[in-house]
Amino acid sequence: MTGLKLTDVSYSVDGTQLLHHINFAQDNKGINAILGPNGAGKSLLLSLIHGVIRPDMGLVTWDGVATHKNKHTRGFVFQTPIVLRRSVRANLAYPLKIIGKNSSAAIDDMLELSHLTALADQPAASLSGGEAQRMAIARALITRPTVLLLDEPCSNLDPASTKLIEAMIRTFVADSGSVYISTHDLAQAKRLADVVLFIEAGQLLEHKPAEDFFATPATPQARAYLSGDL
Amino acid sequence: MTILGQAAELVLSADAELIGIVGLSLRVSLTATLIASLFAIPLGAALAIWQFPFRQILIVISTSLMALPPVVVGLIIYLLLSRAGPLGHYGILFTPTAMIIAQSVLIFPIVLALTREAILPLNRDYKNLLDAWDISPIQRLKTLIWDARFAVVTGLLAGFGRALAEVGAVIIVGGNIAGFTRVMTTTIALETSKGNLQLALALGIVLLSIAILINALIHWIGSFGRKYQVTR
Repeated sequence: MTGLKLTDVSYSVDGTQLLHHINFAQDNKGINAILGPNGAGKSLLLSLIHGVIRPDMGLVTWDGVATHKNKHTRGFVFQTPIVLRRSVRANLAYPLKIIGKNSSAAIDDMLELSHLTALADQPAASLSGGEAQRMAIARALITRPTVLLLDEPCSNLDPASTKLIEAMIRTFVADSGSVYISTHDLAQAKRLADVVLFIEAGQLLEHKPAEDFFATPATPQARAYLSGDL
Repeated sequence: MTILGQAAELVLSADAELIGIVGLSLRVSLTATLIASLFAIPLGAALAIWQFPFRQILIVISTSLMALPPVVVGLIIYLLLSRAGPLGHYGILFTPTAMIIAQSVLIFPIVLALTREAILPLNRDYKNLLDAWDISPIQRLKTLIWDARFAVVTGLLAGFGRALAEVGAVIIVGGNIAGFTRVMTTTIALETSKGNLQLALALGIVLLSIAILINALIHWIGSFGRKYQVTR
């Protein structure tokens, strides 16, 4: 099958099981929001499905291939943007260099998409939080991945920065990309998500269209989460 | 004219003997720095990045080597290069090559330790990002060394400064032969003992000027590098 498939995936650290027997399959399309309270395992799940960490048990595949073997087909963006000690332009050039490409046109496109053209030759360390996150997303997109994984990309950002980042996400999806975004911002999930994966205490409790999830959550935990009690 | 005045005149008139000695000193120390860096930078970076068997032992040994007494290094290299030594057939004792070897050995642990110190925090910052990409170990090494370049160059300059100021090892393996292995520090020691303070002082002025220049460079590179570090 195409897309993501998790088969009986569990993960533990120092004997504590953090993710429990997770099973789901999802086509490569649209925006998938991973929701859940703090500590539910959202970031961990994203790291597992990208292949940054490997499960203790079970299998994660993308398009039928073990996830750690095709990382280059995806882009990953962290909650706190990791900035290379280079200029903004050199940050964007870096992933291209890894795959042996050098396209100044692609860099210029990404600078424009992220509204960072005027800051291209500045040290990336001088960017604000929102600018740095936009650069991180542009850097993840520059190699033309089919999937973008975003770990709470807008936490601690102001509404204007959030709006710009959401616009970048929508542009990527419009170009037939697929997105997995972990967030605890319900308003953002409602604005963006086509599908919701709801996890709580390391268990996947719901996996359904976003409209259904917000209208009729099936589990008491999801209802408590949506009403602000979890 | 005072001794200081005579020394200044030697420097300002670009005295041939003085220029020869300064030139040799720079050539020996720069070559030694280059050779030591070739090995110390990748190894220091590897020690900062990866966990592997005997890593801790290597770190302890390299740190201990920083405190190596130069005369002991000189003595060991002398024994290795002397006619009866295992490398005696190369005939390089009392040549600039022997001095370069001695200085390389002395600088190696300094550059290694400073490189490791520079890359450790950077590796912590970058680890998740580099893990998220399909990046080869060589690419990881190159990326971290490049992005720590300002601190690494500072380490190189510190090593170069140490090499240039070193006297114990080079006098043993170089022999302080006039016009051939006589460098600034060994000449200062010799000329002072002979009472020829003008040349000794002139070389002292040059050595001190180079030391100030190196420190100014370290300061400038450090402040330039800080522009690229995230402080938020």
